Amino acid sequence: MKQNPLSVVGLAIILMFIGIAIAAPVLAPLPAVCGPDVGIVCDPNDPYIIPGYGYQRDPLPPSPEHPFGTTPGEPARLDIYYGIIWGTRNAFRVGIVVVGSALLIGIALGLLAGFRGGFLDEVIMRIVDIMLAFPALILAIAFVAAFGASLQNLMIAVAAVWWPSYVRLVRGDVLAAREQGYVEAARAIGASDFRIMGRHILPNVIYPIIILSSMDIGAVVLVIAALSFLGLGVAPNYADWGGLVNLTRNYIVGQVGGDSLAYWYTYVYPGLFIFLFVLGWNLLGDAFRDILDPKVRR
Amino acid sequence: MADPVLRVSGLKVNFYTYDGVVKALDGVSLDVAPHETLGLVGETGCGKSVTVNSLVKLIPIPPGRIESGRALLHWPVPCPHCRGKGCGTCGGSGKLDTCEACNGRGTCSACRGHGRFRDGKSCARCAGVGKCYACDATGKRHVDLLALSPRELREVRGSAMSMIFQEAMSALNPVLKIGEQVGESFYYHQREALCRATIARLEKEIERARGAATGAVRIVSLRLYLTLYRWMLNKTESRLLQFLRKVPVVRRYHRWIEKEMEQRSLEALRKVRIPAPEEVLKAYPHELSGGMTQRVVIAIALAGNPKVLVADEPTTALDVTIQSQILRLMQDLKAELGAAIIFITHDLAVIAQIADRVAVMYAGTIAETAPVREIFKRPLHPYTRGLIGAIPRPHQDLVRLSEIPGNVPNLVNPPGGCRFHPRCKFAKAEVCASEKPLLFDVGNGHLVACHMYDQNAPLWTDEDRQPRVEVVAR
Repeated sequence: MKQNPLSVVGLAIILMFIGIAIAAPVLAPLPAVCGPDVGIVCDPNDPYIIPGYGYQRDPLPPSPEHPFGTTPGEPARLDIYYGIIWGTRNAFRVGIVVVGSALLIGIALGLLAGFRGGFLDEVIMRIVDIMLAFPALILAIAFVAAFGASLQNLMIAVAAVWWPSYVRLVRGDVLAAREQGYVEAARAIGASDFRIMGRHILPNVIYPIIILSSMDIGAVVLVIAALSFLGLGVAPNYADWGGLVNLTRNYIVGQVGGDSLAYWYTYVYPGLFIFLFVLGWNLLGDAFRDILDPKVRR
Repeated sequence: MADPVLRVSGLKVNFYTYDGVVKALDGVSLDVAPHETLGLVGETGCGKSVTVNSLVKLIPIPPGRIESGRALLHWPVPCPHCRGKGCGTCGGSGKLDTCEACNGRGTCSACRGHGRFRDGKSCARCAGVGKCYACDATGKRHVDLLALSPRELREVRGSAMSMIFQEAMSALNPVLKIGEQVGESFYYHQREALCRATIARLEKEIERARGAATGAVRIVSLRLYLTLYRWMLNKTESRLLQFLRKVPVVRRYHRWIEKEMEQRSLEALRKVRIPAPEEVLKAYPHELSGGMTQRVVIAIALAGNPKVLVADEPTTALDVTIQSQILRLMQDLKAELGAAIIFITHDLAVIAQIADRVAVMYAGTIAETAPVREIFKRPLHPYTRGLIGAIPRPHQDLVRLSEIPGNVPNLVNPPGGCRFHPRCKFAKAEVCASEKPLLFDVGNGHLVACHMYDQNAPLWTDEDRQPRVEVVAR
């Protein structure tokens, strides 16, 4: 930690985001009253739906009521600040669920393929090869197109294209670990195959996976944001960083014939948070590597 | 010799590789008497490790395959009727030690010991000998290691037969503490005893909690644990309990058995004379020295109270001072535990120090077995003679040590007949190249697989058979 100040930065960024996610109801509460008479559209049962203000759509620049400005929603002006705060929760949920499920599949199949070998290994790895031969983004788009655009389907789609690389990584390490003396020794004192896999091999191959998966949480959020931007993800007005950028698609070029940067706040703020989130996880992944990998330890 | 604890006969193992079939073992036969140390010597690649590893199927299968052979291990089991407490079925000993095939009679159950049936046909079950095929006529309970199911095999590994490996450091898992690794062996093989001890401990704890004022909640939880352990005692392999161990909070119950495991691990480490065992228990393998790791590995191997302890070159990776410490330790432990040891090495000096009996292997066959003094004083097989002759002797003024000409044969295409004949200066083309010599008893417990001593003996002179050590004088 001390030798690598960047890892402290990464940790600080992620802690900040965790703080934001936990304190979201405090940082960005739903308006106390909403309804047509006050000109605020919101869903009191689902705080993830960004409240809309007024009846016009064109973005408003940052102001005391809307610190990051507003972005054009359906049908009203949406508070960007609110969207970013609640979008943090969404980013964590998406990243952890997708990486977590990809990890579960990846570790289980990787252990089986590497340890058992033979026909099972062949089948699993050929499926992995086929999956990896597709461009991941296109495959995810195809999934969503087939099953319908929703956040849930988006997460399933990304997890479905994400696990093969984990299988490969785990299997490679398991192949090396299963030839170790301690595996034979465990077998010699009567350990069963599952016991050897779980107790002796898994702890020895888990570190690269931990490092990769912490970096991947950022990457997954990036992919989801990209898919959301393409309009494949969330419902309109849902607090999602990629979705926020998507809303302002028609305004990115600025005012026609006027200032081309007039609406900068509609995409810079969400983009900045996506950037910081991914950067934070990458730096944290580096930090994990420094801590867990004895070879780069100084 | 007393009835052997382990009798290996005709063990034949092949490895099916891309280069062809490696005929690694060609009918290896070995007897290991109870409480004895059998030294298994031979050069690299002659099949010492393959022999012992294939007994408990630790060779990679495939490419390896055990083609034929039997390995009868004398293995009394706790009496199933009284769970080891002693009853009429087991004669009060608590152990079941009667051959199930012949019911203790020692005769073949198919032909009732006659070797042939009334119609004159020879009995196929016992090959016409009339001995019980399952217990080798001893009437005791034997299991054929090579015919065990995977589950039975796991039971045998570590309890009836355990291993000490050459590279102690790599035999220990780098990410687990020593205590966890030693305890594991108890967990596999003595779960019942562990449960009993834990139950006793819990009962004592409940008594103590009863005296205290704040004990009510504690007693309830301890009672709960007690029920779980009583259940575990009856169903040691319960899936539900294995699952409960993974559930947070509930898994606290497992700490009690872990305490017991730790206690036993501590004793095991003390037994192998590790200084400050409490600290070693909490250490990781890389924090220990080579000699210490080897002691830990020995402690793990002894944890299951093995009948046969296989030590596969346990001292090769150690320096001489540690080597002698480990050897002394093993001798002391052997006297203490009464286990038989198969000691694999290529160091004849170590053999002379530790073994009671020696089996010399050459290219996948047993060349000669004899008591240790006999083998050094009267080596009979030309290969053994060559080996002994190649030992430098300080008091002899030599220019050049004698050697065995040629190289170890490639086992993909081993020489026919006696596998040693191309390098043997006594070889006679008429028998040695065509006929495989079998182990022949020449008396004094001395068996040798060489045509010079069996029914082909007249082909050689007594001069040839004279055991002598070749010396090239200055």
